[in-house]
Amino acid sequence: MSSSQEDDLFSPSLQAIPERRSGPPWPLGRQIWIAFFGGTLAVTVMAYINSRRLNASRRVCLAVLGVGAAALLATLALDLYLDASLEPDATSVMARIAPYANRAIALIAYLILERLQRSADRIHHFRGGEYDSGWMDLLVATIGLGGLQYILTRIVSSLVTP
Amino acid sequence: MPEETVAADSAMTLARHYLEIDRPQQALDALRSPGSDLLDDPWFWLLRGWAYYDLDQRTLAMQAIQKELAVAPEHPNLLFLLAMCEERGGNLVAAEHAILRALRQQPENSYMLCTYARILAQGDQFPKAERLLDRARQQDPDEPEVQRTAALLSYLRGDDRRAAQISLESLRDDPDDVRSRHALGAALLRQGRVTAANRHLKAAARLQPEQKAIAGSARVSRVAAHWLLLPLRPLYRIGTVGVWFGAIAIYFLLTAAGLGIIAKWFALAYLVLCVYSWVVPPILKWWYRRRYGGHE
Repeated sequence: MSSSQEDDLFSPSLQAIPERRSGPPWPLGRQIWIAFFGGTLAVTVMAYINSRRLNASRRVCLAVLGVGAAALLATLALDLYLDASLEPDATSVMARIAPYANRAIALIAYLILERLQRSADRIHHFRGGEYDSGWMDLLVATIGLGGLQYILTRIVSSLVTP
Repeated sequence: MPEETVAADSAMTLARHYLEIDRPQQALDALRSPGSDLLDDPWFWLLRGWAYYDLDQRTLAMQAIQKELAVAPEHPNLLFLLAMCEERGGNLVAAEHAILRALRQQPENSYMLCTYARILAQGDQFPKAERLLDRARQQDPDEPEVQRTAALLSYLRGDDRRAAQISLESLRDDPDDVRSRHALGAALLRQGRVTAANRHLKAAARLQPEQKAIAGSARVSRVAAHWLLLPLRPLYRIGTVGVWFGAIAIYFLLTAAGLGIIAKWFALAYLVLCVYSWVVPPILKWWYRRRYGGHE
């Protein structure tokens, strides 16, 4: 090992972690319910807030936003496709799957978001960190952001569909 | 040699032995009546400090070594214990400062290198932690702490499979390594392999009943392995999302095959299983806590 590498190995690397302003993080497993009932927008926003609460790196927080944005675009694209290709009274398999396809995208997004947050969550747990055990803010976020996503989808659909 | 000196040496040797076999309370008992010689010996305070640290009494551990640190501020073993105490108190910057001062005296000490790697990992500095671990491995490939720290780094990175693999390799080298057994049990529990996890964690708790962390993990695995939670084993093994996708897929396959009634009964059974998973585990945990208190 070169002298400069050795100096780097034995020089301080840690900085004081800033006090969290917004409270303790939530258990990661709660986000699956947000994904299933609230959709992609809800799980992305809550995952981003949770990453900040876990003091995750900037890279992780940005990755969370990136995954969420991609999942939201996929959801919008799927909704537009289904709106354009399905008759209102369709009884095909496609029509029956349609309501659940968005949930599937949200659950896949959750799997990726959980993996992104996992290390920060493990560190938090290992250091004896507390978790927010309340459900109310998650419920409000699920309903509010789920509703917002629905409105956004309808707006985009009405703008794009002739 | 004067009788007091022989007694003092015996007490220190006995205390050191008890610490090596993870019996910190007995180590403290051995040091309970120090002669005047011992009070000036930094090793006496260091052994007391380690005993308090192993008993999870960080404040008393730090008090035990503060006076000696004032006299010998660059004593590597005192600094090492200080680093461990600061780490346990969540003061990672202070822990890093102390361990770096210790490493300046003993840069080839693999145990200290592993400790520094562990501190850095908690500060999300994984690349540097891995480099330190590589250096420790080069210095002393047979040091068990290297494997334990490697398992911990894998766990903190979220790689349970790798953490379990490394812990298993450690146990093959030393079947009595309680910390590796605990790490393996915890990794298996996270992977949903409840029976195997319970076996390892029970063994670890029997070997070190004083360790609260091991007792806590053993209690969690005991709950998870209860026969009432047998229907939930697929959930633990496959994961919640996998089970949901599977359930939705089965529902649609049944519907597409024209078996609508069966699909509805399947959906109802799945809903009952979900409610069961919300209600029964907390009741079991409460019951175990009432029956066994905070201990296994």
